[in-house]
Amino acid sequence: MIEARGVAKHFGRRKVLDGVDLKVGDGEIVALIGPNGAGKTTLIRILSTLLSPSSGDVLLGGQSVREDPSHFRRYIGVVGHSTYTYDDLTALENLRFFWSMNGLAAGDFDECGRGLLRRVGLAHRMNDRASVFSRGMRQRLAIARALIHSPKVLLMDEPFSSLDQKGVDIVHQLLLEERKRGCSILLVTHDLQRIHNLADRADVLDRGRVSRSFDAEAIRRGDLERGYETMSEGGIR
Amino acid sequence: MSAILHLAVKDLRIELRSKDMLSSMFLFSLLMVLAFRFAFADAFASGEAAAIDIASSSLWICFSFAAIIGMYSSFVKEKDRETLEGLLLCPVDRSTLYLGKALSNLVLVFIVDILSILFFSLFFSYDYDGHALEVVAIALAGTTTLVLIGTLTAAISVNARAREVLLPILLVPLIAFSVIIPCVSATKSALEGQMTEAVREISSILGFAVVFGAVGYLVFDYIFEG
Repeated sequence: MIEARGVAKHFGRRKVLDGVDLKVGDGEIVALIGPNGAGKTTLIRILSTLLSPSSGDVLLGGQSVREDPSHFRRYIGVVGHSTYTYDDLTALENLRFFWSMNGLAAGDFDECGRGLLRRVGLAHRMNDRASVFSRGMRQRLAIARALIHSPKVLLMDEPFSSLDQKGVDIVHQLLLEERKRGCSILLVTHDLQRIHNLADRADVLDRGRVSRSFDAEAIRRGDLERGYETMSEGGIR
Repeated sequence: MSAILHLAVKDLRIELRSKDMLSSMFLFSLLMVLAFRFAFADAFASGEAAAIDIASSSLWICFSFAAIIGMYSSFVKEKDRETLEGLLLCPVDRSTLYLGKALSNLVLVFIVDILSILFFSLFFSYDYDGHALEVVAIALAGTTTLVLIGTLTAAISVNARAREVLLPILLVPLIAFSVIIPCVSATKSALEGQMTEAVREISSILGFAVVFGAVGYLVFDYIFEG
């Protein structure tokens, strides 16, 4: 379980996050939506320990990540705007590198690495360099990279971007499997249909705060779609 | 320890495939030795400038500036190809990243050192008076200190807007006194056969390596603090 408690972030005088409270439980998929500039990516960066909050705290399994960020990174997988993979390495070498950097035993890699590439539909290209991959294939490799150490928390910033329909289906299935495994998943997306099909809850981030939360039932009823439509007219009602 | 090696091996594997840094460092070193050959042609031919003096100073100018080119790219490539955050997300201390990057830089810069020593021997028809191995040993000691300082300053400058300018501005004053001057002196002593003096200089160079290595290890966490 990952939790943001009163997280605020300032860049100089500009306040990007203003006391965000958000919790993603074990085996739960929470969608985070909001207009551009609402602070979604900043929040993901803070939750992943890439940024420190100006105030507030991030708890993972009830413990503050400030105590030992490098230890907590072991439990977090991140899919960001960039793939964080190396063009000059093959898909398998990329995963092997991140496997090693996570301190996992080299002997166990082959089965896990190849298995993961199979799950993201890249098994047939595992020995090709990432530089020859299409944007969608790189995105799938990025998702495999984020999952290589079987994280307990998955933070995904627009994971469906650049994916074709087959890629979307693969990632959709992966998320369901990870939820079943007990992984806490925070999903930043503007795809309301995807949220409708996947999310257990949707939180709306607006002007640096979680302004409204929709549970699974409200999402199914279509409250989220109606609320989202009003966002451009001055905020969620 | 293994994360340091994995990071260094990853960097070296990528470099061997792309040859971005090695080719530019190699060309720079070759051109520098050629430039010195032409600059000192008359003085060298007339015996006004001894090969010992030219070798000790010009080799270290080649080593240092080729190293700056190489070390500049080590973090800039990660930053520009958007892989730096992937490294920062790994569950290892930032100091591990420092030591891994320093190790890969050491291997690459030392390869260029060896090539520069060979180029110098070739273009000046100079066999180092039978002290080539000592010159290589001094190159290794000096390069170790150089990359420990350079990797730290490269990381500091990577997020700066004028990073191309900032790295040499930060690095050159630091290495002038801790690497270049003692290494030139040690190389000259070794070529003159004064091994006691050379060993004394190498000890001071390695002392700087320990100091700067410790500083880098301790402060690296704060460099990428968001």
